[in-house]
Amino acid sequence: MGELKFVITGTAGVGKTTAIAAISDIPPITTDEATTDELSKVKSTTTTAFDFGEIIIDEETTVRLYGTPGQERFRHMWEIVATGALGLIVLVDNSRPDPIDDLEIYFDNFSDLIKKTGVAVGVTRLAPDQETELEKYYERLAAKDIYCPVMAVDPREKDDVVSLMDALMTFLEN
Amino acid sequence: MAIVRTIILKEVRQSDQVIFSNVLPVLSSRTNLQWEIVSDDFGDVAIVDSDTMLGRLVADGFEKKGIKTIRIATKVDDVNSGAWLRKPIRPADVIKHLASLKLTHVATLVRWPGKDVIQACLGSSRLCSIFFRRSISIEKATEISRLPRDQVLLFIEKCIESNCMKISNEKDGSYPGGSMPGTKNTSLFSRLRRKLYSRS
Repeated sequence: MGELKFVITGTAGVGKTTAIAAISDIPPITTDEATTDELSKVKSTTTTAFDFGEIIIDEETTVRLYGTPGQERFRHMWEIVATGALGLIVLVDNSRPDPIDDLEIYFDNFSDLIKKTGVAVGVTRLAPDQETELEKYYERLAAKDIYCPVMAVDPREKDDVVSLMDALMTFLEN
Repeated sequence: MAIVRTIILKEVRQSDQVIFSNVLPVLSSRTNLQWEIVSDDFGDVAIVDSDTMLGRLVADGFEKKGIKTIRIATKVDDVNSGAWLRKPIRPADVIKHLASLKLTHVATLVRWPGKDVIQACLGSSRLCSIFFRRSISIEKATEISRLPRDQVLLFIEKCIESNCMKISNEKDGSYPGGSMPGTKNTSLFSRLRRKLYSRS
């Protein structure tokens, strides 16, 4: 069996590294560099190659978690990281100006992986009273004939990340 | 194992409740189904006394949920539509009505439930997989999931409460979601789930 891995992608600052840290058995290995552009207003560093975490199931089985760089200028890394993955998690920041357009960028760029495996969407920065907003994600995805789990998540909360991983695995078992 | 059909009684007078309780054995014998009265808000058929405003609202609520509803009313004029029993109700009428019902409720998970639902119900991940974008009867879901029927009903109830699930009277069938749950990577994912949940 090849490498067992899941990929977490999404816009810069959405919480990919945090999500990996929430469930990894090892401290995430990051390839962060100081931000120099507009992003520096939001965060001081950003991932330039990938983040890496591990979930050790037993002595022989380790599942790896890869976080892609969020910025589109590093998109050449996306395909490299995605090759051979078991499934994809897309994190979307609901507080951004057009989060659904953000989502589509990742669905378009990871379409091969999504077709071969499956995807679950975690929507971050969504207040509990905004949960009805998840409907607009479902509607846009349904318009593209895509059906997958969409959940509100806080990447800092281990339970949320575990629920999202569980949803993805459940979906992949279909 | 007998197929169980559940009856919800709401706003029904004590004397009428006794009639329903008494007809259950005959109804079960007549239909080859096991009929039971349940105290939940989810079942195969809801019987509601609609002579009061509250009763009418309750009946409307069940119909909106897609649950087959029979109204008990003094006059037919008081009943908007659908099945009804005229007061005073007679055991023979109750049996005739319930025995003739075509109850094939199917449930469809239209969006993924939040962690409150997932954590509240045994086997909820499996049930999400079974019901997601697919119209499946409760019997079929119980059979596939190998979970107790009451757990399947609890999951459905929680999903309805959180607007994740639709109930309808369609036949079992596929939805745009694709094939029935399979076993792809099931062993690996089971072990991964155990690991993740053991720490959360």
